[in-house]
Amino acid sequence: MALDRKIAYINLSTGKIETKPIPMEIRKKFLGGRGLDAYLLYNHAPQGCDPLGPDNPLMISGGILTATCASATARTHIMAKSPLTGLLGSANMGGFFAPEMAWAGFHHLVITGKAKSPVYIWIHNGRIEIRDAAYLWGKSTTETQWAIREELGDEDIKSAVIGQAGEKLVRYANVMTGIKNAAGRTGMGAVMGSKNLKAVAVRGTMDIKIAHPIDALEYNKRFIEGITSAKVSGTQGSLGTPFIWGATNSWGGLRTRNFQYNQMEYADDIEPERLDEIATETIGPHHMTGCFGCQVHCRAQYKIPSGPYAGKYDEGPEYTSLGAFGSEPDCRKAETVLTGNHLVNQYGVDNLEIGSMIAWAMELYELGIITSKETDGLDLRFGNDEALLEMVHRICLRKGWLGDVLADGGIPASEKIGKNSFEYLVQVKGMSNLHSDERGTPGLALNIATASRGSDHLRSRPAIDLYHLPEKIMRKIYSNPVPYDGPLSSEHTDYEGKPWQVFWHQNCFMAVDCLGICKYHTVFLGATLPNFEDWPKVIYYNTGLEFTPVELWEISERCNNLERLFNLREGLTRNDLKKGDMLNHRYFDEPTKRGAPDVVGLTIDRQKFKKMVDEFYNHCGWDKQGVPTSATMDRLGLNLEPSHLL
Amino acid sequence: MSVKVSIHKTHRHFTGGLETVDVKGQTVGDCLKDLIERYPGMGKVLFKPGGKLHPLIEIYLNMKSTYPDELKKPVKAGDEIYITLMLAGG
Repeated sequence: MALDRKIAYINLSTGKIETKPIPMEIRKKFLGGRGLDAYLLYNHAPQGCDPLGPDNPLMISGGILTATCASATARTHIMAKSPLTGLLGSANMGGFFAPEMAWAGFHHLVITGKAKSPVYIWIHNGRIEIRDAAYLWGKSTTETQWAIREELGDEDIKSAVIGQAGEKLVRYANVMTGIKNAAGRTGMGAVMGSKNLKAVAVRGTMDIKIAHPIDALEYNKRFIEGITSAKVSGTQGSLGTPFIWGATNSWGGLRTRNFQYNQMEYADDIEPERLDEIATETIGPHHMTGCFGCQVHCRAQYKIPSGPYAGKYDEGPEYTSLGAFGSEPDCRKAETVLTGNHLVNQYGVDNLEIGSMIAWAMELYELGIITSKETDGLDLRFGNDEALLEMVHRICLRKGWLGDVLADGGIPASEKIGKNSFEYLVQVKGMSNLHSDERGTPGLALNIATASRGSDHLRSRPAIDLYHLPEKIMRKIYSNPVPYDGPLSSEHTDYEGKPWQVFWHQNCFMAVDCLGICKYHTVFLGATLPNFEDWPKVIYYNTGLEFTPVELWEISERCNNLERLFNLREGLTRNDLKKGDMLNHRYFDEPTKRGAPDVVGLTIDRQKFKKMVDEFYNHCGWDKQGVPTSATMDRLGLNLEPSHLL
Repeated sequence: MSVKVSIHKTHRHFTGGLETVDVKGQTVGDCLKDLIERYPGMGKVLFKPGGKLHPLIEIYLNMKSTYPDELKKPVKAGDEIYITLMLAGG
């Protein structure tokens, strides 16, 4: 059954490999995926450890539902202490890796130590081997995956790999599987690189026994009907996440020219409909594809239509590549966006972070804070497509002074660049913000300020807050599974009720990440999509474990609090601009300049923001400094952590 | 018969700032047509060229999404239509 999948401890320094069952007591408290990884991180990472040192444990996992009869259980979660932020490192990717790992017998890996020379880990039907990867070092993410398949003689092998960015310890290098599935954020690829670990390859044919298979399949049919009948799924399935970018840009919620504007002008060539045309012209009408067990199919396939990389195949681009190579640097050509997307996928680097780093450097260059001396002669002004792509190469290969400096992430880079460069760095906890502008949306501003892994949209974002849903529907969503009768507002510019929404989504997304399912199959973007009422049934039919919706909510709270405890242990304090729940001053001081009338001229009100953070902490059961109270620790059974049960 | 249409904040500059507009019609499509006749600026945000409802617009009738075949859904006096916009904000 799904619950008999094991955990493996792999020490790359000694070569020791140990496998264990996952105790039911642990399952019931942390489920799997991100939640159980948070337990493992809190228990195995020594306080203050060097994120790029051998003591930093790297967890790779699937969720408790991975590869069962539930839909969309494709997600692989990766966790360690982040070399980018020094706090929680956590990233999540789609594709087919985690299901294959489950069929190979494992739900969780804990990788410690450092190999003397490049290696990869080969996992096959319960067996684990550490193999030489010298011949893989220097290869791109795609080349690496195919080389492993060729070496082992099996084209069905799935691998989680790093590219050259991970090898060069770019502190926001990602881990990738397939063409574009990226565990992108917080630099998990650099952690792999620091361990001389090029890849983890898996292949499995071990059956997963379903507890109640007929019920599981019947319930999943309802799930699929719900997902495929939602309008947002149809839009995602035809245009992918660029539809969000296009809508957000036309409205005025898109970070442009670093943070100077909230809307990109003259964007016709990179609008979602134009990208869809390119995909149709280069691949054909059926160019959308998906991950394991998916009914949404949000991922486009394309070939670069022109330029030096013409004809290269890739997938996407997602919202984040449109931001990184479109609106942030104010580059308006589809060729540039599609090429940039291809480069980051091949190098294995977080598109969001690298786009933000380059846009920040462009603003510094135009302000004269850095000059052509620091850029080695590169004219790093906004709108220079060639300079943008050149900087991608330089950062990923750590070439030149600026490429090397930016590869370390924004805060260390600001210390090396000096002057007032930090003031222009749009980040929280050392991680760059999504390419969106939250000055008109206080709920989203609170989300990015308080997200556990740094500024982020996938940890607690109340995205449906922007839809203008009927208040009764909002009340129904946000009053379950625990009662809530406080304020709620359908107006995205309001401050009232937003702390509860962020708290609610924080728990919702943690549940989703513990189950191992994709957020596009949840209430994240669609008010009618599955929710806390559905998931306990899915867990029961597939695994036999029984939870009420409230119990599932409490598990999510417990896991979120463990992440909070880790961050506090590693130095988070509430108002610290570099390690706290605080926004860059530009959110408070610089009004938006473009967009629809409801977003022009807005800033986040500093006092109201402070009040929102207070309220959010209160909902979380934290004190005014954001520390879980003893009552919260008691209620969630966290007093004995680290308990070292696993 | 009168049906109330709730307007997304970002579209209210087309309705002179009105949060809700009373319209008439037998179906959701009729009601939106009536809305556009009175506030023509709403036309381009609700419909694609060619007359298809915009993929980012989802229409709720009372508490329920009208998707698919949104425009054909019948309405009655006292119903409330919500024009929701799948902005998401990234």
